[in-house]
Amino acid sequence: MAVAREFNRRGMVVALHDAQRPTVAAEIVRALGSEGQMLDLSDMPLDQGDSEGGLAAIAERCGRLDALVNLYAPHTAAGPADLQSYVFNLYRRNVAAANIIALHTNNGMIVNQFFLASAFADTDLADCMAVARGAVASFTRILAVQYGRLGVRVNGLLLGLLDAPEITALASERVLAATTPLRRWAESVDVAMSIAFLVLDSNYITGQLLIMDGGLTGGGNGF
Amino acid sequence: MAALDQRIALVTGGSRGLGRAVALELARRGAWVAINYRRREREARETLAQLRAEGGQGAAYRADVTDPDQVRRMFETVFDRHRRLDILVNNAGIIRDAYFLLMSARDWRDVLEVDLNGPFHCSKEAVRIMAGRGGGVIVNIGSGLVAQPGQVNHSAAKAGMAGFSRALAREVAPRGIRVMHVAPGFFKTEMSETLSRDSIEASYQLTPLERWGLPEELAALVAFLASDDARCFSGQSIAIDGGRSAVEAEFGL
Repeated sequence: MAVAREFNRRGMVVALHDAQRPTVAAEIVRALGSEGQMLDLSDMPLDQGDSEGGLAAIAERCGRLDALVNLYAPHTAAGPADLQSYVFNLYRRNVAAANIIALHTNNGMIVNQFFLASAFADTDLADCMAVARGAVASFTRILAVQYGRLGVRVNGLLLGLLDAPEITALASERVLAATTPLRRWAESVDVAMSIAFLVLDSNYITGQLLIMDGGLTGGGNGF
Repeated sequence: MAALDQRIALVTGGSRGLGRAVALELARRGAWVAINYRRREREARETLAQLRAEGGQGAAYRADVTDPDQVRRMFETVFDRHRRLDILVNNAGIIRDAYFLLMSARDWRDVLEVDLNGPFHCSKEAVRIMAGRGGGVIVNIGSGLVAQPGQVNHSAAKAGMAGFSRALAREVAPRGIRVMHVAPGFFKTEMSETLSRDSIEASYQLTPLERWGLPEELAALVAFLASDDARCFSGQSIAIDGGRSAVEAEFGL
């Protein structure tokens, strides 16, 4: 919601899609709809394989498509099968969006969000989560290289500790006890400002994985 | 209210090139900016004049960042004036390219002096001020992550800058000070325009966005990192290089 609000504030038309919780998208549209143009497109089949058709329909409805922001990341307890379909669908959606965005602008953008925690060898997350992160990181860079000359940038945002109910509800006691060097967990507004920066104010950044973790991994550890 | 209203910033090597663009952008967003220069007084005055013409506030200070005494005096002057410092941008850098067997010990030393020892001296003074006043942000501008022949001095200094940033970030985080490292690829500046037409063309071929960056694009990244919008970022490197480093990123860069 914070991301939608920030885009909205900056004058963009925002199409929301939340197939998991369609009522949430509808609520956001109701809450923010009067401030600007906001569409709830949760009924589009973006997760079921036909991303190209869904995204093309969105582009047609809005007149163009400049950016795709993939905030949804799977449940931390997701199994291999869920993650396999998540990664595959995200990849397909990235490629479809890149092709469509390239038709509309030479300054487009895709952001893929994922959990930084999946990069730790010692974590409560299922190990298949790390497999998924590796895949997301890799195709983020590869699509950045392939689509750069078509004017589409592709970046990742890896989140450390996020102060959101769904994260704190899932986190183990060990994770909750962890403090960041800056003594701060990110809030949704921090995600919103980072994504707004990446999409609107970073024309020369592509193929990057930004790590927003309050300094947690800054000491090295191969990151 | 602009993002950096009431903030006091200091930019080393701010007289021209990337440093000038950063100084101007910080001022546009409301910061009072100290423009540091070593020899280029005329360019520093031009930067200051442009900054003021755009409605910004600041001053120019001469100091050689390799000289701890000059650095200390410069920070004291800024501190005496404002009683605080919120943002330090370590931008000053030099190039002494030469193929390895032709590189003199002096070429090696001079680059390390300015590119690595300079940020050491400046950051020390900045942390001294920031730690006692609730925190601040240090942005270290390194250079491209992709190694180039003829630049072992430059690459060594800039890799050192990345390690310096990470270690300092961890150490000063409890004091509310964030430290970020920015790794620019090729940018259109006076320094880079000395390259031959052929090598400029070749660099386009290797860059997914097929162009060089504009100084304003780097300045926008630095201004974002210096603002509260980026309050959860510290100890990280961000490459701004048109995707150049993504091409080789899988090889452990």
